[in-house]
Amino acid sequence: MRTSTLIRVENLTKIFPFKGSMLGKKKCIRAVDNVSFEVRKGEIYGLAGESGCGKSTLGELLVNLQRPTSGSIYVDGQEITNHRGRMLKEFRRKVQIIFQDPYQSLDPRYTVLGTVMEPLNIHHIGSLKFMEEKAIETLDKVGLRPPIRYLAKLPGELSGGERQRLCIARASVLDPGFLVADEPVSMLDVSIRAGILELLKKLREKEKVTILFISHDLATIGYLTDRIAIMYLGKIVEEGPTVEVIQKPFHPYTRALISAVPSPNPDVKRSEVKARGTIPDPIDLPSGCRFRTRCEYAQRKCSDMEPQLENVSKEHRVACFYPLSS
Amino acid sequence: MSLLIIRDLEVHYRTYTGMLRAVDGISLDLDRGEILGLAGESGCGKSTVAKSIMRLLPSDSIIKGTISFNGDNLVEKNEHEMTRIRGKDISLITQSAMNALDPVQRVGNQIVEAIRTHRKCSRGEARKEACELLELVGLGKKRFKNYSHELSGGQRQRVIIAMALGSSPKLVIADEPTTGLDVIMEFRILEHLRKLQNDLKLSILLISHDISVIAQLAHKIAIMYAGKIMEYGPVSEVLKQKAYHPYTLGLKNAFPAIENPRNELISIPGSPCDLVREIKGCRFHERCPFSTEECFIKEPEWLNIKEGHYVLCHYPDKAEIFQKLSQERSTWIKDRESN
Repeated sequence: MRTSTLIRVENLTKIFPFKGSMLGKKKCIRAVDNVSFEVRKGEIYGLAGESGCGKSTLGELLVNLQRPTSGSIYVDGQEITNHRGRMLKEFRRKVQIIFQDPYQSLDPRYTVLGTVMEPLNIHHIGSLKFMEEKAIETLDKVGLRPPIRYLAKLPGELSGGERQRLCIARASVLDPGFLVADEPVSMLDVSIRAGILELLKKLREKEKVTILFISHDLATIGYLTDRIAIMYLGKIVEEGPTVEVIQKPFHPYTRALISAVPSPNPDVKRSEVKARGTIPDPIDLPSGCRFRTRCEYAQRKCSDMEPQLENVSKEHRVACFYPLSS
Repeated sequence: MSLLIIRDLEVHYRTYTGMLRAVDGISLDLDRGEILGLAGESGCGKSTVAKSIMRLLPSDSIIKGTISFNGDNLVEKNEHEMTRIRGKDISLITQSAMNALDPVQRVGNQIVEAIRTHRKCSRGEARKEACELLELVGLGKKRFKNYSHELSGGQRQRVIIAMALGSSPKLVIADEPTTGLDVIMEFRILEHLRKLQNDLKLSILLISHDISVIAQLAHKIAIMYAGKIMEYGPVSEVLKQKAYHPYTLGLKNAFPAIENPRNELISIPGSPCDLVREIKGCRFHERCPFSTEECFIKEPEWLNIKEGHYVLCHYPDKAEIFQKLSQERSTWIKDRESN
């Protein structure tokens, strides 16, 4: 059975104007540059990359918190790129986002019940009684149990893990079909992280929620996601089934990233990380392949032309002229 | 004799709700030329340990026990004596240290200043040495004239490392030295620390919440929980299958490993206990799947199980059963059907 596509992104570009150039020449940052990909119904899709690669901007574009400079986003076959007003509100019922910092993304003066009921209120869903019941049911679902004990609490009285569960409750109370989770566990303690990841898995299984999981942590992405896209300076450089990409990366950048991840097992010796220098200035991108300045395999062609994503196997795409064989 | 010997260290902070026992009686040894990792969750007191060695605690906090460094008890030193040790014999690299660089001074001059604070030498000599240090941390002397905004986060962190090494310290305390950096930069900084430690025979106290970082770098590891050290021993034993403490076993379950992406992760239910309230019995008993009545009543003793391996648990003899059971999800997550 072929799984159907939920999100389709075509040639999406987001350019931020950059002020402050002295000569009056306009400069800009291409945060997301001509990106195309698909997220299938019911999958957890991972978006990985170093800081500044545009992964969070891409997440925000998908939930319409940012407007793209060009390109289109389709949800369930319907283009949502230029939705405004009522259409946008309708769209936001179906698409929600969880942010990284559960300490800053909750209103400190809203009780737990108030926080979870707010989305229902905004969208005028049901009576007060129904909203309360729905909120309690959602709290139970995200593991804030028993919900009665939490209802009157303020975010300040909750632990980090509980706050993030509350954020997930707030995002899932409208039964959205699609959830963007932007680094949802990186602020949390390790012993609590696994619980939140488990909760996301459960949402996917029981509520059939499709999740876009954004993280810089490849070990976590490797654990949670079905497919993964690696971003570098606004471009997707590699995409494929998670385990395949991690165990057999084709792009030199992916391989460098993966070999840099430390393992909790002291016996695992890391191979050398083959990436020179640091990420170039996003205002002043290198010509051709963006990774060529750090790539040890770079040839002449890499600076003349820009590689496009091409299939190396049925599901696995790489944007490199000289993909690694193993 | 070990370079750093900590015995029964207690640090209490004054808070609105009462005294908070951030560190509640810990003992540690750090040998010369050794890397000791101190791991634990946020709020367990690991940074307080670093601050008490440097004597950088708030003035109204209480510190008890002994911290013997090179034969001197640091707890008894006055502020004047500490100034001579701090930054000279012991250097501290903190998590956000890279943001502490002076934005209007060239980074090279800041290193020169660090060198000249602790040693009488001419500007020229210090300048030469600063260039050598920049080479040592892999930045090159051409960076001498850069300002901090011209460097990336990882490069700034390496300037901090160069500054920390400027006084040729005997002990470097690295408190989350790579947290907040990207993996490739983290890898490079850790490799640098390892190489420097090897070349200069430094002793490093590496504090991190990330046991993967410690696993890759340290010789020994101490696992801290709620102000106490739960287990202390060689990395090769504690982080492999031979851990004795249920908390260590739980922590290992919660860590994803990139070489086995589909290994199941299991979280430890509950959250750490309140350190202001009096703690009865073992401080992990509420979250421990193996706790008994004894754990609730009596505080466990610091047991030496074998050469260099200590544990704070009533049941070191049951370790084998714990090790086996801890790998099953049902051990940790019981009545609550899921999450």
